[in-house]
Amino acid sequence: MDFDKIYQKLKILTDAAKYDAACTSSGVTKKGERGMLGSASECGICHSFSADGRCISLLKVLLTNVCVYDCKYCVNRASNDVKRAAFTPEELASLTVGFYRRNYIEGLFLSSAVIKNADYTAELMLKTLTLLRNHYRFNGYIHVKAIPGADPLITEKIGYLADRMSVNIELPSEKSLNLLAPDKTRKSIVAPMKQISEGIIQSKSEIVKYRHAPAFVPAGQSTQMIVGATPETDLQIMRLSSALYSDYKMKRVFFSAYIPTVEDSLLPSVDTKPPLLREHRLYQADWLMRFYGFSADELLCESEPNFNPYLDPKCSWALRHPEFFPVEINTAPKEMLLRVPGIGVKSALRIIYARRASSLRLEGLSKLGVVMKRARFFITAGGRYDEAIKISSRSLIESMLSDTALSKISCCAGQLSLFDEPTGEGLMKCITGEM
Amino acid sequence: MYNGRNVALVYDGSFYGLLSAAWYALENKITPAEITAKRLLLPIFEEKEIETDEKKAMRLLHGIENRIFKGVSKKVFALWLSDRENKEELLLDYLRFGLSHGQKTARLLTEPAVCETEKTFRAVYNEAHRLKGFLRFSEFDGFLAAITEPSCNALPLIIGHFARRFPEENLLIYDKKHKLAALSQRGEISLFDADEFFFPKRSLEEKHYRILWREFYNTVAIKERLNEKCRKTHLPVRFWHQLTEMSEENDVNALNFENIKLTFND
Repeated sequence: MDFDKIYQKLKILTDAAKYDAACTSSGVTKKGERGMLGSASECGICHSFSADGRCISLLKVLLTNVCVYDCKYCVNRASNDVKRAAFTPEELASLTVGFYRRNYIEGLFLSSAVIKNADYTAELMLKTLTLLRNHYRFNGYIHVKAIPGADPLITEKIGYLADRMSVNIELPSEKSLNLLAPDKTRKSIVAPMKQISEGIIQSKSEIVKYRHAPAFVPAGQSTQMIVGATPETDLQIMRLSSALYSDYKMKRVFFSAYIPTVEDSLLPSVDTKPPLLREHRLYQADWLMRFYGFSADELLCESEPNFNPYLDPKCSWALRHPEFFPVEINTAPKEMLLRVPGIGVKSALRIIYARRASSLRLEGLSKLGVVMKRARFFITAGGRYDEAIKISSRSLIESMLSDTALSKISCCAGQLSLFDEPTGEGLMKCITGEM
Repeated sequence: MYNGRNVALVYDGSFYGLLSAAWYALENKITPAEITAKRLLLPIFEEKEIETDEKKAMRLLHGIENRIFKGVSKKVFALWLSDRENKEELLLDYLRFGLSHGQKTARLLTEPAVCETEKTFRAVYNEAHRLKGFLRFSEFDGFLAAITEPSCNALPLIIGHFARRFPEENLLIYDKKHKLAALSQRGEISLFDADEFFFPKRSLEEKHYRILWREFYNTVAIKERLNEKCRKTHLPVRFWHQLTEMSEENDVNALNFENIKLTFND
């Protein structure tokens, strides 16, 4: 190993890859096998957390940052003056194995800028994967970014060696894409996405027929879009992401708060702070859609197309829909339990499990993992409300807010009022029935 | 109904020993003041030494599987692995509650003994899951070695994972806190007690990999998004000293990685 050379390359190509949000290693179970190196577990394993609090699970690097494209928002754009480097397939494969054996990582996340042309780039990636799987007998996790515009045959070959593939949709609308990424078209992005999702469906049906049929992208497909570089609303973003889940059977849609790295009149100024809270709200909503049975149009509407910065989307939905509450925890179906602020997927399942043996009382709920600070306004047990609601000095809305949000609001207004209609006080009354 | 308030049951610290102590308490209908693996110099309570009886222990395990619920022995085993105080007394409470309530014990999650056992069970398995990610191996010619200090005795729960993941390697994981070593030699697993472990000097290649990994770790963080609180939530500080990426390079000796010398407890 030529240490100095690898060191320089790793530094440059990690720096160029770090803005990709996805680093998950989930979605596939592979038991270890004699003569092979590695395994994978369905839930994924985080190996570390970087200083920005994000999980590190895979060796996330670019094969190269030499790029023929000139996308305005991207650090690797051809016109940007940065150091350039490229791994050889052999260098990258042996580095991955060296890290993997020391339990630093769960596998490889391989992306690349487009060097020479799309086919050439995709072939280099294929060569890296072939080396890993065949020469090193590597059985760990591999996530590959498909290169839009590459020959579908190469993409297909990559798909049989990778566990997960993704194509970044980049920006939430075609208009923004045309504006900021003139070399990419919606069509060129959607084509490989479609190819992958169809390949997955076909491969699944073949595995049913022939047990040893090779698996194509067994951990599924994901995608990512940049939030905050262009003027789309949260509602537009949520609709797009729910279409991606249903039409392309995405496993995940990632959001990445735009971080200004280059100066351009078409982009937000370089001193703009990344919209982290907005990104957080979008992820919360994403969870609500995937695990809680909410739809995009329930969470937002045309008249209120963006998420409330102070309240999380679930609380905000509950406050707008007092007609669904209270929920009786001893009889309510799972779908209704999941809609209660303070009850999550795990605590809902525990409630259902526990109530079959004995009826539940409010006092026991926190032992099941329910956050009573929020839930107590929305539930009854055996028809009975929490006594503390009547005497508590904390208002309903106060209980829904995090302490930081609370301190921000209360310093500028004595009376808490986040909504014009109905007011927090009125809502409180209609929920507790003290009309 | 139960007496024995001034008796302390002393067992040998093993899983079967703990089950034998539980057997003794259940059979004699006593609730001892404590059940402990540590003999005190100046005992406060009258001490009753429990002899480890593997047969009785197995009978107890079979019995509770049938009379409480299938899978209950996994909870019992997790209790033994945990480092929580009074785990032995909790085990006895749990078994006693379970034996009188049968099958539905699993669902009575708001009962204190059941709730506490579940909590401990989850804590032990969570710790095992964290170790699967946070353990770091170093290569010393022919074997991969790691040192850790987990919050519970989790090695028995994770060695299988690593043995399956690296079926062609020789692995050694040493738990400094519980003085336990786990070995996997090309997939063959063994566990043994060890007071101390010393590892040989790191090779140049090993040092290079450590530098590369640290460089990757530091580079991959996005400066505009630094969030120390979030990092510490997911990656508790107690793990930092065992992580390659968190150590300075002059810390080569931080975890006693020097001079090979093995010392065994009998």
